[in-house]
Amino acid sequence: MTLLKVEDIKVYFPIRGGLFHTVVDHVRAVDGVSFELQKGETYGLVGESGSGKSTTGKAIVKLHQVTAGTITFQGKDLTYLSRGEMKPFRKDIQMIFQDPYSSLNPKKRVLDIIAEPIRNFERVSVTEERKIVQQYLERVGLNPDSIYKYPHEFSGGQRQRIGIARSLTLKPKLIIADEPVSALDVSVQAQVLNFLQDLQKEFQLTYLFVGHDLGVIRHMCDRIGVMYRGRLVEEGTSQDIYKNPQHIYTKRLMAAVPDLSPDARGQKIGLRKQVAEEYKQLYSTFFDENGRAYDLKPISATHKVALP
Amino acid sequence: MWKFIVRRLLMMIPQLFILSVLVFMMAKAMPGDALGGREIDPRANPDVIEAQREKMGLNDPWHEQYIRWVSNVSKGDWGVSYTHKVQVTDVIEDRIWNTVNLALLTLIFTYLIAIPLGLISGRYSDSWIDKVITGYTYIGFATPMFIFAIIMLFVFGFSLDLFPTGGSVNPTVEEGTFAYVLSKINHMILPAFSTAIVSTTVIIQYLRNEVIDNKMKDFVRTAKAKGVPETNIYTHHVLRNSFLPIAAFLGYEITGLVGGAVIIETIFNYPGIGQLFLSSVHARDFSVVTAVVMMTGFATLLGTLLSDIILSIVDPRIRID
Amino acid sequence: MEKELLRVENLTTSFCIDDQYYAAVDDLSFAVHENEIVAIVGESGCGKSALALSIMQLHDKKRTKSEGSIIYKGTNLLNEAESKLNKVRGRHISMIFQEPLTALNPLMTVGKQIEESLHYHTDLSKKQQKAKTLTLLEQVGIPYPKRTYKQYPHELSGGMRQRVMIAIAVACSPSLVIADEPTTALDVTIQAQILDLLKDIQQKTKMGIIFITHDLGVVAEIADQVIVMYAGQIVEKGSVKTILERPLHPYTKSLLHSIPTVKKEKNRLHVIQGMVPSIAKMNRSGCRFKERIPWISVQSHAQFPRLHEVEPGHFVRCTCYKQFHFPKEGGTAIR
Ligand SMILES: Nc1ncnc2c1ncn2[C@@H]1O[C@H](COP(=O)(O)OP(=O)(O)O)[C@@H](O)[C@H]1O
Ligand SMILES: Nc1ncnc2c1ncn2[C@@H]1O[C@H](COP(=O)(O)OP(=O)(O)O)[C@@H](O)[C@H]1O
Ligand code: SF4
Ligand SMILES: [Mg+2]
Ligand SMILES: [Mg+2]
Repeated sequence: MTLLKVEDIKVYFPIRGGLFHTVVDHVRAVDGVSFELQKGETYGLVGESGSGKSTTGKAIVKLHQVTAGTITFQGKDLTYLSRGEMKPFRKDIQMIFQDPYSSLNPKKRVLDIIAEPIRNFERVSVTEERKIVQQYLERVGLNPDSIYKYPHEFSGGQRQRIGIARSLTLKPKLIIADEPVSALDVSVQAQVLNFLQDLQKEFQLTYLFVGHDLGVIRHMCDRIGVMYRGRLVEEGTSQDIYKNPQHIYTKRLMAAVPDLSPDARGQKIGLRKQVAEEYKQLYSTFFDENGRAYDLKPISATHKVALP
Repeated sequence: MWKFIVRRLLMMIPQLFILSVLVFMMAKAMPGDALGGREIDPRANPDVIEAQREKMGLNDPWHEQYIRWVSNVSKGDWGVSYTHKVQVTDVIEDRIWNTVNLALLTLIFTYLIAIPLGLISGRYSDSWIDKVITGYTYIGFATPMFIFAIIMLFVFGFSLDLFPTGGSVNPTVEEGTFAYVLSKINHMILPAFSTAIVSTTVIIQYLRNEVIDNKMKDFVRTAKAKGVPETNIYTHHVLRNSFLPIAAFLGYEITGLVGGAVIIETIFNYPGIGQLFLSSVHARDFSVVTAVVMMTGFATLLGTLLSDIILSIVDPRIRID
Repeated sequence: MEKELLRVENLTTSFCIDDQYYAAVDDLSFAVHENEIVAIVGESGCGKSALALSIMQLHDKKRTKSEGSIIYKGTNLLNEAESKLNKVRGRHISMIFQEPLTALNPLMTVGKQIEESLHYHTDLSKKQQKAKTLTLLEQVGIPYPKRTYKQYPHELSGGMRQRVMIAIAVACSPSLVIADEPTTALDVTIQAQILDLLKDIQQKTKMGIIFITHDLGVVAEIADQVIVMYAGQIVEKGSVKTILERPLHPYTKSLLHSIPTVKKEKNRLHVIQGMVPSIAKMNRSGCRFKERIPWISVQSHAQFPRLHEVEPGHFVRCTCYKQFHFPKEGGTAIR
């Protein structure tokens, strides 16, 4: 079942200039992106920084207004809903942010942080609220007695879990995780990733997982979209993307991933040189005259590549 | 850059407009007006006064008077000073250079004191010398400027008789001679120094904090890793970066000086704009007061613009266009 | 065997916290040879940066104590005066930092920042300095050296800035470069370029590199020797092949099992419980890692594990590594 359908969305940010600060141009942060999320799956968006991954995620939760395109959630078009009309859906779609250090308000207690969405959307008594918060704290592996603590009293991984607990309280259907482990050490990263997988099973969650670490994306995602300059250049299953990359950009990305076996080293450097060469030569085949990637074309049942 | 300046200058028009309306209304609201007892014999027949008022348009609705005033001002006609009986522009012209010179000297003193003290205090933070300097800045903070000024006037002016205690120049020297210039400077030293010694404390503290901030920055560590000796790290890396906000401060400092001029010029009996302002307020010299307020307003706006421009010149990260 | 460049012996660096000194680098010994890349790995807080800054002696002397010896060309740098050290820093040993944006002076052009090294360590004229700087910029792969020379750091991308940092570091052809997480802030594609560049320069100049990272993938790409650090100590040391293919210390094994890689698909990741102890709260008796492997019975831990050689060139600080295993639930089979 299709849970979320994003069709040809564009998010342009104005660039101002000139004598009267008028809009002289736009940053095409997201420039025509389409994908679908099936219920229960994890869809990964990868790409280098600035490729528009976060903007795409934020557009879905309406933190950015889309310039064009449609976003359909459970068959309902959300694109142009007002804040009020959006309310029932805001419960269903939650976002987790990258930086566990700055995304939690340092002046608020854990209780208030986690209860905030409940307070916005539901009416529950104070004791009931506390019970819910404690229950979720326990669920994310934190001591339920820590509700009166402040974020600075927790480590990075714990803070990220507080953020996750907050996003879970409204029993969302879709979670958009924007680089949830990028700021964490490997050991803590492992903890959060495992935990996200457990939650997915338990609550039948669907994830849109944004990341730039290809190891993490591979580990987490069923299907993957590769973004470059605001466009998708390739989409497919994990297998398609990692074993059979077709777009030169995807190939370059894959060649850049460090290999854990030192024996592959020489070969890896050679591969990177070759791919870089190929990239130069085939650039005009894979990008149009404006340097824009073409629209995705299916090359198999699951695999799509941006080809002319 | 010019686009930015033009835009900012254009933005000043509505700001000056609002200021002018406020000034005009305030002047009108002042109890009595310049006609209240000066132009005409107070014992004159009230009918005569009324007729006179009518003739001068003082009974028209305020907005008509305002428009008349603005159109005159835009022609450079600020009206006649009721107390000095000459054109307002002439009254101001007599004084303005005194104030500008005094402000310049004050600025020079302010920075001459602030820069070495701020740098030493920041570089050797928590040493005894830093504690002495910080102690001084706290005193400067806590003491109102006029107290300082009066003490200075008393000690160096009256008791020690090192500096003149009033006026802007010795009336016996001939204009245009070197002695004239010296006498001018001599008259400014005491008021300028008294202002500087207090207003500099803010900048010392600012500079100290900046230096302390900057010496912990990563790029300072990089410089050390390059083998740059400590003293050169201060002169090449910490200094320039610490001056940034100080440079930006310059514009605001000018604004502050204009306000401070009222007190200082009065205490030192120095014939500048500030003193003129105060005496004109006393005398209800409506046209002079409005002219001075408008001028100061304009200077303030220019000061902020100047700050932004300076900042954009010294900091390559700030681009204004 | 190549010539030895730097030898660190029993180095202990302690920071003053509330009038007490706590060691962040604890009795560390190792050597770097010409033409060798030594990687130092460990989670954040293990003391990697503290070690790097100790070698360069860039710590705030008022709050830091370093003991032991850092032997470079026969002299112990720890005993040298600041003026002598300034002749070594940037000339013989230089450093590349993690965050190139903050590590570069925002108000100084890129060209001037590179020339600064040349100014203090060579007697090139101004003109020659500029010419050399342009050559350096070209060497580190800056596409338009002339233009970049005049640019400010904020005008460059992260990758370009890091290339500039590298140009600064290699300007005076040092024999040793210490790179503290030089690619952590960069995208994978840029990271690969920077690693290839460093490797390339290193092979041409035969310099030694101490490469600090927390990413074992990067270690596999670049290192010859690997030092695994935990809580200020070396817990395992050996060639890159040994460490990645035959790790013995439980910490090294745990790290390896906790990374998701592009090779393996959705297996369960190993979670290293707890966290690196802070220097003030660290339990300094016995094995420092035992808190994080609570399923290993207390009896199997050595009282004071020493770093000992288990096979030629392979050192482990663990007496009972042979009994080590991962916990049943969620753990992956031991290699
Ligand atoms: N609020 C904004 N205003 C203007 N430009 C923005 C804004 N947010 C993002 N951008 C620009 O949009 C592009 C994509 O950014 P982002 O979605 O954050 O990329 P990613 O998450 O892939 O790193 C970048 O060029 C960024 O500078
Ligand atoms: N200047 C300092 N003062 C006090 N403690 C410090 C200082 N620098 C580092 N530490 C502490 O020393 C330990 C090691 O830090 P660091 O060397 O930065 O670790 P790494 O580089 O491996 O992440 C940490 O516990 C850190 O908090
Ligand atoms: S087995 Fe013993 S020595 Fe080895 S890591 Fe565990 S506690 Fe330390
Ligand atoms: Mg992002
Ligand atoms: Mg570090």
